[in-house]
Amino acid sequence: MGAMVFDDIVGQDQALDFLKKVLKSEQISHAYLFVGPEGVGRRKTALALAAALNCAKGGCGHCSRCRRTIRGVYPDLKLIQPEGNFITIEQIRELQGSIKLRSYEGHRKVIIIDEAGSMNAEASNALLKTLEEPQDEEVFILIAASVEELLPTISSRCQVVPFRRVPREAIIREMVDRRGIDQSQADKIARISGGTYSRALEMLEGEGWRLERREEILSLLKKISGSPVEEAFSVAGALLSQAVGDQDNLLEVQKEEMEESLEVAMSPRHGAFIRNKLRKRHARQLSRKRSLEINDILDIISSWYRDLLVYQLTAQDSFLINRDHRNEIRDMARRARIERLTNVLKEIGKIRRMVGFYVNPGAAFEYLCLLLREV
Amino acid sequence: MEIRCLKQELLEKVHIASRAISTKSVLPILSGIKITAAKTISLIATDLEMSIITQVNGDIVETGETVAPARLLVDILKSLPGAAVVVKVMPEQGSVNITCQNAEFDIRVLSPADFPELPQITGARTVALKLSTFSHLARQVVRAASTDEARAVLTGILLHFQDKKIKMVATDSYRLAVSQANIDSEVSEEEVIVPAKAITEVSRMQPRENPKDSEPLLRVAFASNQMRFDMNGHTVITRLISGKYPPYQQLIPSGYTTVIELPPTQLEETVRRIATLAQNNTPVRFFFTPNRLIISASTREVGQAREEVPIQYSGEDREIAFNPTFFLDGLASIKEEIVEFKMDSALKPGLLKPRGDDNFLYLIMPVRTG
Repeated sequence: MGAMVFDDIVGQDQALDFLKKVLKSEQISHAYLFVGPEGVGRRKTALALAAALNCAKGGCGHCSRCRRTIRGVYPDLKLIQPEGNFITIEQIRELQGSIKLRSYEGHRKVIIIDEAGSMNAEASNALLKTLEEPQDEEVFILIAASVEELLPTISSRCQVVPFRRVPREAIIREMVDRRGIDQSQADKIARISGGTYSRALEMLEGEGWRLERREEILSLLKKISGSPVEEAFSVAGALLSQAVGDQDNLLEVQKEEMEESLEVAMSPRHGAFIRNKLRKRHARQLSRKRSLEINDILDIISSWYRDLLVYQLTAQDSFLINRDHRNEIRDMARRARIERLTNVLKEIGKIRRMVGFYVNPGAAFEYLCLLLREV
Repeated sequence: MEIRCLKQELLEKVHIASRAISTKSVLPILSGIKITAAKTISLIATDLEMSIITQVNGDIVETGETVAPARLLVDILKSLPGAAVVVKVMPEQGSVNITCQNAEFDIRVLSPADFPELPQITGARTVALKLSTFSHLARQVVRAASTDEARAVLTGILLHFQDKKIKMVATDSYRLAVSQANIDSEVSEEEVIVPAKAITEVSRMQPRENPKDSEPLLRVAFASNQMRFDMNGHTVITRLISGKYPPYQQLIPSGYTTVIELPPTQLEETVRRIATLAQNNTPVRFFFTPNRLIISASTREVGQAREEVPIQYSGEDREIAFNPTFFLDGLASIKEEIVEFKMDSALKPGLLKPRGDDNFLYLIMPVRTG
């Protein structure tokens, strides 16, 4: 029985049932739009669908085509992601140049556009032209947080497939059954992950440095309330170094990529071309990595103040994200004022948007910390 | 893997294969040439659009495969003396060893597992024709193809087989070239759009060691997404361009009021001379008046040029202007003794074709003049 490629996807039964039905009926649309929160399996499902569309057995997960597609190296699979904060028109033009050709292996060409909401206006309009004149063998899969992120002219040409947050129980079950994590650790991770399985998996990576980082940030937050201004600035500095501290890995990978590519350059001119292109891509990757890390830190901070607010309103710890710190939450919630808490949450939302527009992150953290000391 | 062959032979084949390597790619594996030694020695290179496979004459000491960086391979081979070369894979070192007389090179190789698999053209329809026929048509039309990636379909050449005929069409919407020829074998109808690069590459194939009177045949195989050209152990595989070719036949006018005949070399020399003063995109003008054709050009602040050519013409005075490069491209495709130059009015396309031969035509849009 086919469609085994979907077996690894956790907690998206509705979306998967729909896609399996589509595959069975062979009434494939030219474009799908996967909407839902970050980290719930939209990307993984997109790759699985791409594999199923081209697999002779409807997505067995084992044949060469399935495996290459899942690894993202299938020649008729194009994966577009923002390399900086946006997907640019150059990326869409490059895509158009490559999909003008019939498929390499004679089946469908699948184009996955990740974070499609980050296409700027020029890129969206360029893509629209391609979506308006679909070729038989092309299938587009756009991934976005919501339908509203896209131009209506684009979203109206797509079949929308909603993805939802994964129930906490499903994440705990996966962690315990498949990864051998103990029940209380699994519960803690499932709560922090906010219903996103990929986030939960990230927590397990690299000897759990993300969990450690969370502990560090939470300990900073515990002492910031009512502290002197100098203390607030030093917390801001610590947050900033958390945001940029993890670039070493990426820098190392980029350096290797550059060296390897230059070694095989066809000519000095080709070498210059590669260097230029890679340098630009690397700069974009770096800024993207930084804004992802900043967002991750803001997630941790807002989860803390959200918990304080929730505890004030419900006095129950079962709804807490950071339940492993329930004693401190209970203490602090008693002292905090509701309007200050809601204000902090609102400001974090603003900072999140600002970081997307190249605001100096150091200044943003300082501003935030000054607010936090008044909570 | 270990192979032995002559330096000149290997260098020549590496040169051919490396024409499939794109300098627009940043993917390291695609800048390599895959060398396989099984029943024969073959070199394979691809940019995922076009692949070239070529066979090398030589001895196989041990079968196997490797992927070596193309540029380095060319540089090394060029520098070697004209003698036997041994290429040997050193699996433990992840390198390939190249020796020639007393010189020895050890170069790092890429992983053959990363090299893209070549497309299989299965259940394909095939046609065989003379390479010279194919190359002749290709040379006549290929310049007219568009280089604008935004109009993907026009960057290709329309290749049409029907009723023992092959036809090639190219246009960039400023000019249109159509060329056809008879072929010996019966074929089912095929119409595909082929990237211009692949057409050029095939037309450059060399028939090697051919006995004078039997020209080897170029074998063409079609699949729905790819096509393949084979000759003498040399293969070009290309992906096809998807989309519909514009209905170009509608563009070709059925009748012309003004027709003159001239030797193409004379017309070409004149236009080339006058075009030196058609700078900054100004056109070359053609003025038809009884028994004379006046060709002129002028560029503001540079100067002007004018030349009269005697012709047989008895109609009304008419004028038309063309981009000189486009005009000369068309003329260059006509090797016959006399070219027919046809026009109707200043706003309708002009046409160039060999006299008494309907196998080639070149349509060119006029430039509006003030």
